[in-house]
Amino acid sequence: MSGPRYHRTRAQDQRLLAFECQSCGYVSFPDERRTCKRCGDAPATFEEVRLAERGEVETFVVQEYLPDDIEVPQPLAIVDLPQADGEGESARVYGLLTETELDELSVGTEVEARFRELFDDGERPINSFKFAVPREVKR
Amino acid sequence: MTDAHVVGSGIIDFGEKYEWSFDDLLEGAYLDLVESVDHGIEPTKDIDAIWYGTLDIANEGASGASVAHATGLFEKPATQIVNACATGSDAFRNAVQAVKAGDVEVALVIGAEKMLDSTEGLIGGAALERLWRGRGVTMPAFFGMRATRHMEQYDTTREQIAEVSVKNHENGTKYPHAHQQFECTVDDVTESATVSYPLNLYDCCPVTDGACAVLVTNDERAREFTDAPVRVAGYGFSTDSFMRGDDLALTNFPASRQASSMAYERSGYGPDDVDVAEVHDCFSITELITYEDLGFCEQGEAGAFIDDGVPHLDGDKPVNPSGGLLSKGHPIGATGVAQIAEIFEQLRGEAGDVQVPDAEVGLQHNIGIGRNATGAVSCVNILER
Amino acid sequence: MVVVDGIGGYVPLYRIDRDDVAAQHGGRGRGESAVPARDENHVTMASEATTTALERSATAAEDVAAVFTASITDPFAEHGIAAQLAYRLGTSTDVRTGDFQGSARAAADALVTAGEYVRATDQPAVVAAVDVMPVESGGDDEATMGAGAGALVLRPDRDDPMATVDAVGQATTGFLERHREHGESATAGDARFERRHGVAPAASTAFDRAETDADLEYGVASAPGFRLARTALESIDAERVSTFNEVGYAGTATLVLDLCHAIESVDAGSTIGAVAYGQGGADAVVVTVGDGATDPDGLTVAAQLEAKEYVPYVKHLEYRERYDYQGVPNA
Ligand SMILES: [Zn+2]
Repeated sequence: MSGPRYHRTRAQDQRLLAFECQSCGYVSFPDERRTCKRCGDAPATFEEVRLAERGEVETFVVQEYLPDDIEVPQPLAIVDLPQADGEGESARVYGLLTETELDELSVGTEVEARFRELFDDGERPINSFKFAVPREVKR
Repeated sequence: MTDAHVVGSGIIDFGEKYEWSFDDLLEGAYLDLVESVDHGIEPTKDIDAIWYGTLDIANEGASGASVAHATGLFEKPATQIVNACATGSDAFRNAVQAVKAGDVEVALVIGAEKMLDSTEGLIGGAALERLWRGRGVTMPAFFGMRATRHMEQYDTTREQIAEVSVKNHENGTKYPHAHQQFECTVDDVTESATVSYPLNLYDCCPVTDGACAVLVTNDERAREFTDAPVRVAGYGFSTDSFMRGDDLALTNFPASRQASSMAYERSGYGPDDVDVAEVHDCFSITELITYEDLGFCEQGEAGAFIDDGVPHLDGDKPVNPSGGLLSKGHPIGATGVAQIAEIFEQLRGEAGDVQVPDAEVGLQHNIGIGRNATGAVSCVNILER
Repeated sequence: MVVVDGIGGYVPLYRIDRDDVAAQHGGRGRGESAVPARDENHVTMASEATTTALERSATAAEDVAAVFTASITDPFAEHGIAAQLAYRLGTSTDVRTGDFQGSARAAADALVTAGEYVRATDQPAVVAAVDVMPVESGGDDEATMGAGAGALVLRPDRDDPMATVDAVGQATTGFLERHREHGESATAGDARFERRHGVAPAASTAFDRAETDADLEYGVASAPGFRLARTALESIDAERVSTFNEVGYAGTATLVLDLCHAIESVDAGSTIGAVAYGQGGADAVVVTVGDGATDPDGLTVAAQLEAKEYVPYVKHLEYRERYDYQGVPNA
């Protein structure tokens, strides 16, 4: 068990809080650092930004073999999440997809962030975001 | 400053070696090297230091003491290198740097992995309890994402990706140490079971035990061991991550471009000078995009490159004559060292049925991912006759 | 005054066809019931409903002064839903929270308490109810137990609110027949006895005490079965709006989910009488739908009833239970 691990990133994990480098505009998520992954600024100045709960699939796979903890088929994508206010750059994140199938996915598909249970920490659910094609697509 | 030279190699047949322990693998490769050095070697006297590569998947080989334990080479510096799937190459690169620096005269580079003793397996790690990074990310998924995007962006076809596996399996049947000794067709690949769409079973390297060793020394002592040393002309190593936001990292590995640029610059050679290459093909797509990353073809042209037969054994730039990881196998710590050993044989004209005629310059490329699963480490070494 | 500033219903994507449940044990069933996905829990489902409600409201999360949640199926004795929901929403840390449970009236208790809180403080409050009803294979109520969530944002005033809260009334009779232990399906007792001596007097008294001049055109009832719910609305002459045939009984969440569905579905100016029957009595709430409820943003309950996928029988059992993760710990 490692409660502190999930405590310290709860704003990123539950509210999509991200960090924008004031030197180069890079949006760091979920890492809250004092160094910039893109421009290498150290120490870098970051400002807090919120990411939108809707993004775009940049690429994806659909996995058929995974441990029992994860249901298959399990689509996995790299998703670009723009900032909630529409300014600046997007953050690029790994996204596990839920309630989404292969034939609903392509490069460029719009997906919604969905608050879901990822695993548990000794029975205590750890909730964060997965992604899904918008529910209205299912009609 | 001296150059570094490869003056000997040793390998065991890769495969499902249920009868062999981890120490047996190391000992096997080491003994093969000792017995094959052209002019002979007195190991305890001649070898100054050991660079030892293993991820220690089997949990038996952590620390340099383990390689001493398996080979009897005590009372010397022995350094374990761990750098994901590029572990073996990076062990070699570190040995080369020490020899070039003049601090070590004769270095043993040895890599081994006992994959079949692992209970977790390579899929089990995907249950990692970590948000945003690593959970639900298997290696077929990590590489498969490049395939999806490459097909979308460059109209690369599923068949072009499959052809890499077809080519390497054909080469593997001619290479005596390869794990998988069978040929397959494009249909076999595209119709095999889906592992992680768009990649199927035959797009993936097998789970293989193996070990390999090479001997590295300086200008002064090279001819003490052989009349045909192979010079290390250049090397490079770099890291990158898709999280930095560069779209190139969605289809390719910027780290491989950076590492190969360093190696080309150090060696004075360019991609056109390379006669034979051993590159990282843990999955078929990996080799395809590596053609672009190494500058063998233009960005987005890898599909046409293989359609034209350029990387085939009888093509203009044979890639993975040993069958690559897809056929030979991928015992992680041994993989990079075995690529170096194959280039060593190619440049000495000792590569048997997979010999590339008149090969003078050879390139070795090896990447690694690790549990972070967001980017790659990449190592490139260039050797010349 | 207390107005309904935002509403949000959440119905999971998955459904079990009640015929498929009946077929396991011989027999037939009508309609379907909602099944949560394996990666949903009480907090995530409450979050789905509440984010919809807040997006439709004029209230910013940081201005919410209270978060009251209700559930009769939260598997945890200590853990709670309200505080976790509040954090996820981004409320201020001085927010008042409350977890209501222990009776199927819990959602009504949360709703009425939130209304009192808004009146007392002049600040907005959030009410969310969420349930995943447990089932037993072969149990009497297996086919009709559902899952869902609903949320309301209440505030003192707003131009063109989605609805106004006109009146509330309660009848705490102390009547008890149906009961249920944690994680198990209910011991229903004598249904006719419960309808005549439990539901009918409590519901009619609660409606009597909700004093309003308006005609109750539409009725919403939360009770653990179709006939019990019908009995709860007998004392008013209203058209029933219900998700029972598509969602099933979603515990105490049914009150808020069905109220959201009604507010989204009926014309502006209509008045809705909603009643929650549960252990110990019943509560009635009367709301009048406002212009703000016309063509709301986001997915309506009706749209979610349509956007669905059926799961096989075994998944309906499996998905309602907490999954036992094996995990690979971070080294
Ligand atoms: Zn920066």
